[in-house]
Amino acid sequence: MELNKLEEFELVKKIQKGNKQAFKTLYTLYVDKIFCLSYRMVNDSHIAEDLTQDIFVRAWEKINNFGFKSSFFTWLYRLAVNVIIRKKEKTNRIAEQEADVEIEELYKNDVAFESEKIESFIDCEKALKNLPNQARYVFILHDMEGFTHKEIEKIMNISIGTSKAHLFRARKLLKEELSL
Amino acid sequence: MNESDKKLIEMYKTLPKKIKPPKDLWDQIDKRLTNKFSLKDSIAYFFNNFKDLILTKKYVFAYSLIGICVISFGLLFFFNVSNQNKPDTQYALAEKELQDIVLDYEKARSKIIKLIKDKKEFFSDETIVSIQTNMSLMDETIKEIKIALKNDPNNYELLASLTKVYFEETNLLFKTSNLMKNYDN
Repeated sequence: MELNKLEEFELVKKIQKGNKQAFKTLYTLYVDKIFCLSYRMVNDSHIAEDLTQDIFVRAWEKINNFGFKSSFFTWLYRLAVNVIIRKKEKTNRIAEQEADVEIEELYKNDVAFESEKIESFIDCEKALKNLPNQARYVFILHDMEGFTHKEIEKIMNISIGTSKAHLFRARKLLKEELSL
Repeated sequence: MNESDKKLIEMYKTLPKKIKPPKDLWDQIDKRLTNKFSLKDSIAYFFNNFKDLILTKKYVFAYSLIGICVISFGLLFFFNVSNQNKPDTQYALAEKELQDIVLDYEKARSKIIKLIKDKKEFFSDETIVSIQTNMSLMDETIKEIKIALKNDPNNYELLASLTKVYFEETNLLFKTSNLMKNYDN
């Protein structure tokens, strides 16, 4: 199901009045995207599930802050990044204790993926997973999601120079891993 | 950014933007939202919806208000009327009415007895007997009702009957008295 901006704004107005059904509609639309982001950032499906829940609960609490200036998803995505980064210390610690990430399982369970591409996707995901946390966050935000270094500076509370350094390192490590 | 960087970024940009979570997370989220729906949220919800209640739904609000007023007045009227028709209230009113009628009855009775006594010669025996018979019949009725009332003092129906008999007899006596006076004149 796809919604245009007006339909989405109507749903947001309903959510702002406490309509949980409208919130469920937006949840259904965006949960896969938010889970995907969470999973890539923390490399653990269980933590990613918890984070996805946290993000939607936070969105419900903060919905009155949505000013209808951007799309709901842009607002939700930024909120998601903030929630994930703020919880990064905790998630990192737990991620190290947990078993290996079930990336193959997640991809193979989703019928939306073409089987011949899955191997290539899994290689990329595994290489990403092996990056140091800070480098991984910066690479995902900058190269995959289009955030600027200035935005990353605010989100991750690091300097622009540090962000650039992390990005350089991430690209170098990934190219080595993927033999590019 | 060199060529290998561009190739790397292209590779990663083709990665899926969606991955389905292994299980549906809505139930857990819904539970957490329900728990968080505190008094503060309820107040916030009320204020968020207050404008709609007053403006968008003003007609519903207004008609509801009118409806409530009509029902309230209806109930008040009903209880008021019911209260007036309550046996206790009726009994008290009948008792008061009876006291007044008994006084009138005593006056009329004394008057007619006096008239019969004073003007006996002007009436036929038949008329006198008829008046006395009627009076004694009514006195008997009154006596019977009084006995019944003694056994059942709060019986409104008996009290009403007694009042009616007194009233009729008083009327009869006054009429007789007036007839006698006219005859006399």
